[in-house]
Amino acid sequence: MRLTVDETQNDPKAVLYSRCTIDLSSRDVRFKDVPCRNLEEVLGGAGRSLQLLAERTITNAYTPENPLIVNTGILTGSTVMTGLRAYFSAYSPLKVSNQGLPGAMWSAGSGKFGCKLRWTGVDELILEGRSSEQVIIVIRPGTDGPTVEFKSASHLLGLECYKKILLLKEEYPDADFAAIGPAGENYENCYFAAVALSTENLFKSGDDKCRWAGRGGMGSVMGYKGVIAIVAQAPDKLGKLKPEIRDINREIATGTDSRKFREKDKGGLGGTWSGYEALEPFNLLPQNNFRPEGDGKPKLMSRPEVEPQFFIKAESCFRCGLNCHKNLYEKTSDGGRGRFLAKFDFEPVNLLSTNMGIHDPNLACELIGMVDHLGMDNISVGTTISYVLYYNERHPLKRILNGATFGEFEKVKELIEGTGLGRYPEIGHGVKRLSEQLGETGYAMQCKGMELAGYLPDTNPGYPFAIAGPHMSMATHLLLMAEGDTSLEYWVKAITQRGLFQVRDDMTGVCKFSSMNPDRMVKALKYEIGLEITTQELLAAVRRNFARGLWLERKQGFERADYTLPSEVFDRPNHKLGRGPFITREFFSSLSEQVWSVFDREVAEL
Amino acid sequence: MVQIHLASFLQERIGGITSVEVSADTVSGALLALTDMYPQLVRMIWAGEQGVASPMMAVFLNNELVEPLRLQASTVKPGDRIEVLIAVSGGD
Repeated sequence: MRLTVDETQNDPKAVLYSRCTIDLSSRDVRFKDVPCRNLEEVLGGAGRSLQLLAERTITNAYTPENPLIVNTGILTGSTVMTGLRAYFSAYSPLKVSNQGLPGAMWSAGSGKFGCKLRWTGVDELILEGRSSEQVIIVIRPGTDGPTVEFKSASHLLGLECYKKILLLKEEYPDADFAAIGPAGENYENCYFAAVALSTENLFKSGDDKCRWAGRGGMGSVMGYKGVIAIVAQAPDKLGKLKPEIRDINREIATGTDSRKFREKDKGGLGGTWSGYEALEPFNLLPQNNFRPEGDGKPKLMSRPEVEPQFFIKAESCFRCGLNCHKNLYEKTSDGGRGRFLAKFDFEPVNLLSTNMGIHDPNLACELIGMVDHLGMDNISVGTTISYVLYYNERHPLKRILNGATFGEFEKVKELIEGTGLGRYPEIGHGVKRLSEQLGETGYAMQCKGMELAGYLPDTNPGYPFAIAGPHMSMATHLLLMAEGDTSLEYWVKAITQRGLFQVRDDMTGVCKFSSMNPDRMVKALKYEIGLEITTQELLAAVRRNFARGLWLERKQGFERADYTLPSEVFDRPNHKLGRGPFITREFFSSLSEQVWSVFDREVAEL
Repeated sequence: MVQIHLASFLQERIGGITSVEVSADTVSGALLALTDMYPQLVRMIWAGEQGVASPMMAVFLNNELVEPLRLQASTVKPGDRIEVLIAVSGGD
């Protein structure tokens, strides 16, 4: 990405993104510097990809015409801390309207791949068509601009994500990588394969420490296209750190917001996993398919309970001071660090243990590790399997698959492995499709085909309005816990005036955990890029991008009926919850009317 | 005066203000002064009745976590730094 004219103008057309379009069918490669059409495109990421996807008519995610867009945000590869994001966008095999059409989707991941892609001279890679052989795409900077080479991926097939990446690292020592695992290779039977992104910690340790673009099956689309890995091979090209950016970075790393992620002995709360300590006393942790029992068992997976058994090391992505990765290792007899086990984040811990009735951290490590090795979205696979467990518990005489119910670790493990290896399409096609086949949709925890993350639907009527995964693109999932307000007026404002702004960081290239307020983001754009925009202009661009996501959903057949919660929320309220339940059908119907009265207008104005 | 620094989640509720200065003898008093200035923060900071902190909030005094039940007993002096943030995070 580069600015033309001078460094203080704000005409979108003066900002050029370097695009590489690869037709995988013909292996034709084209490069072009593309001027931006509006501020959303300048900001990058999903701000660009949604507009590109809007130009296509796609009725099946697995068609050559469905592009896989791999791009960066304006701050990816910059000196702004957490500016590491790579975005993968396409029509998703998982997200689906009731009419059966695929929804547009993006997924973001950190690690170092996004930076390296930019440092090859490519800001945006569009993969068209489909390769007849499974390939590796190698992108490098050249004297006349970036170059692309295709290599056979035959030696990588079947390998776990991190093993693929480690093998590639031997071949391309100064590169970073985006790769799919066995789940992506088995795209026909697994719609929620993730894309693994390499990290320095992976290379240093040899352990599975990838970062992930997990949601919406972008790894499945990559697998369909026959692309096993993308190699971005370039020397590091970090710019000089300016004093203004140094101050912003200091705030990101040591400011009030970062305390959530810091270790307790460094004045923090201990990472996303600490949510267990806050939510468990209120019975607000998903348990047994999002149905907290109030039996205290979830506490067994909280950090204070788990920590004495393990060695925990806080690690981070490239040049990030947040140290949000809480990596669990075996504890040696002298209390030292033994073998790496798994990274404990809130969602995988919850959805692959507590929500499956498993309350043993050693077993959770095994399941989290397996999901990562196979390259699946832990949210989708966890939530779909918890549905299976619940179904089997409800139907002891007609159990499905291997008959697993809550707490049956060995059977759950077999389901996970089988899903990643393509043996269980029933699970791999996601919980919406499975529940429709079984005729029991009420407790399938999904919205628009996207499985719910580790927050109860009973606490968040904003879930259905998210455009790229039910908690990543609508920041309403913590509000009931934080404010306890159950009024209609509050929730309409929460969705239409606050929650949607979470998609900003799916445009700009920084991690959501940077917690940059809008003014600080504007300052970062000014001093890092030379882009002068106002806070109001930034927020307006984010709003337009969100509205564009809704427009795209409408284009793909999503109707009012698609925007709803699992009906169990309305029909079988869980009175064990410490906050709520408060979402009745009447409440949700009124909420929808008022939310759409705002969003309909904005969609029409696009 | 005591400085109270707010996490972005709270800043959003009061027009983007990142910190305020208040006069108080205890952490609890400082937070009461804060919510007197900005009543829209009451629900987030207090659990039902004022003086009892919401368990969903985390309060730090000069880099040390203050347990919710210790807010009234924790004294402050001019120049102290209080930080308030939501104790739950996730979504990456």
